[in-house]
Amino acid sequence: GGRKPVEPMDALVNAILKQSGSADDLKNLLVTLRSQEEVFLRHVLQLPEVTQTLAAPAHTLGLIFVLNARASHLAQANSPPAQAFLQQCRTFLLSADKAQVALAPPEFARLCDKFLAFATEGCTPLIAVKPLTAAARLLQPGPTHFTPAHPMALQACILAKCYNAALPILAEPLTHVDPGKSGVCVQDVLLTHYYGGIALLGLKRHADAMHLFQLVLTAPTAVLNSIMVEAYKKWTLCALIARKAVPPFPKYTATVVSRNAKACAAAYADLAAAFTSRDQAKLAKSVQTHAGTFEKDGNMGLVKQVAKAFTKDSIERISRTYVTLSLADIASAAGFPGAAEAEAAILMMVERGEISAHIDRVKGMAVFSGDAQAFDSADIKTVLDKRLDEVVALSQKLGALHDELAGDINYVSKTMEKSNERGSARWMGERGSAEDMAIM
Amino acid sequence: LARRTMAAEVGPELAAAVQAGDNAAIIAFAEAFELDMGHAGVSVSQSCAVYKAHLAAYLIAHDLDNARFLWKRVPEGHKAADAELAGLWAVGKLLWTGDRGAAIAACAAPAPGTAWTPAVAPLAARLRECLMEHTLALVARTYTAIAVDDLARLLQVDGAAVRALAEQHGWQVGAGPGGAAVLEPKALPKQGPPPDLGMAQLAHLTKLLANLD
Repeated sequence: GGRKPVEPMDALVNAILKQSGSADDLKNLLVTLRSQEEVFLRHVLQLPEVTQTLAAPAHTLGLIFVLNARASHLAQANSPPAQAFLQQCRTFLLSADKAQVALAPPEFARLCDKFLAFATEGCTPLIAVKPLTAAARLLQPGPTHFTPAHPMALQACILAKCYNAALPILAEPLTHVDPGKSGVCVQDVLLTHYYGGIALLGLKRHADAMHLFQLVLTAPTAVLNSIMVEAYKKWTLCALIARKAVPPFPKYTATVVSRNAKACAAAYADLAAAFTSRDQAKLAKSVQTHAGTFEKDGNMGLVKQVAKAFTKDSIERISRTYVTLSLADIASAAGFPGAAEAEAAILMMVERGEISAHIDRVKGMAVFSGDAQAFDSADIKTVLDKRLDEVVALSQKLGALHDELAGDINYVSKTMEKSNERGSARWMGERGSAEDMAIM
Repeated sequence: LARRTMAAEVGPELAAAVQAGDNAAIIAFAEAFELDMGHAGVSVSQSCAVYKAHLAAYLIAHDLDNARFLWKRVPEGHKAADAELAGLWAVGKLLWTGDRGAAIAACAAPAPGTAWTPAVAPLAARLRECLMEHTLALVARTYTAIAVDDLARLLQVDGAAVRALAEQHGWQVGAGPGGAAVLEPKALPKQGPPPDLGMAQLAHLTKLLANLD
């Protein structure tokens, strides 16, 4: 006789247990795991036991593959995902080791995707919020990098109706991509901004949401895609709420977008036109005519906010035109049923700091004082200090980008060509103007 | 007694925050509890106790948007099981529609003929206090003239209490049309620490100037 041959599964588990130490061991382990993935798939029934033997953070790399295999198996089983498995994924993501995750980003991202899908199917997206937020930080090569996990984390927040939880994810503006290290793709960047915009809408931060939707709209592209179209629709509605008008596309928008976006969202263009015509009846009719489209797009809530913004805008215009006006007259000008409703609306606007007004309830008059804001309070000083700090930080960032570009070898060679052509020996010394930096 | 009851329900940390009236701490605890899936690991009544503190804290902070989303997240079973939870949301709903007087009145009890449990009573009392302060400040800075009866209805107090408030803040009381008493409110002075204009501010400004090149 001889020794019983080692089961391939046992061999793999042993490899994970033994080779999860040094960087070289881990590299070998990765090769082994990738080449032997189907061993896990063939022995799925043993996997629950295996999962008990392994633990993050020490065996992070092995667990990525084990959990992925279990997830594939559960996905095929066509029954609701086991709570136990969701818990295991959650525990894993909250304690995984960043260095080991960095070795297998595509497999890790795939696991996160399946985890979110299961959580959504099982109607408990909340369970995925914290783990996926942690996953995004694990996948990030640096604090300003996009990863495939960012849109997933934001999606979990939105599905769980926990919009607050999206704020830490959106706190640091993301400006870098490194597909080699994180497996990020274009769709991830667009969806991060799109879902981020939706989360901010939930928190009623329309101006900030509009900015994120605009980042989607103005991404370089040769073809119009559906993410951009949906972003365009929401951007239009946010613009009406936050700015009372839809601005033209920024200059750097791709031609295919600026030419075709409106045609894909005719109902929204119609609503915008009705809004800017300042005719309330026209606006109401537009809302009613296109109600089906707005519902189908999931934008009816936003459209209702647009209608409210219209009324508020009417009051604001009145406040800019009249010094005093009776509440009854305000009601008929702004389309309220009566003076009491107009009074209530003005009170709410004062409460939110949207308008500066005084009401004489006894005489039924409103007085618009123009500028009652005394810019000498402690609150204003705090806001001003914060804004100034933000501007300084931004200008430092811009300066750093400028220096990085000025030293880039491609840029330097092109500017040398350009200045040789012109016959002058101009060297990029001081920070010049935009024209100086132009290569074309 | 209230503290012991609440601690038994939700643990000492939240109970201490409620007792101390530390709204920010209540919100921080409850939000972390929810994201850590704490609600899944405790009984329905314990979970409701945390939800109630969570909801009340949002309303005290006048964060109606977050209050509304929290209500949407609470499982339907909990809503049916706990009348106090529904009672707190009733206050939120009234604030959402701008019915301030009714909201203040609703803080008195979860439903007519009932009373808040000892664990929730301090939260409801604090909420009522905050709503009255907030409404009074709003009225003070918005209205140049308002009938005593109208203000009494807004604050859910009687005419005598309104007159006392007017005297306390130095508002004029006169006679309006039909002889009803009329107040002339003035904006309440802002509270809070005075702006720091000392060395720290000087250092900050110097740093800004240095960055301007």
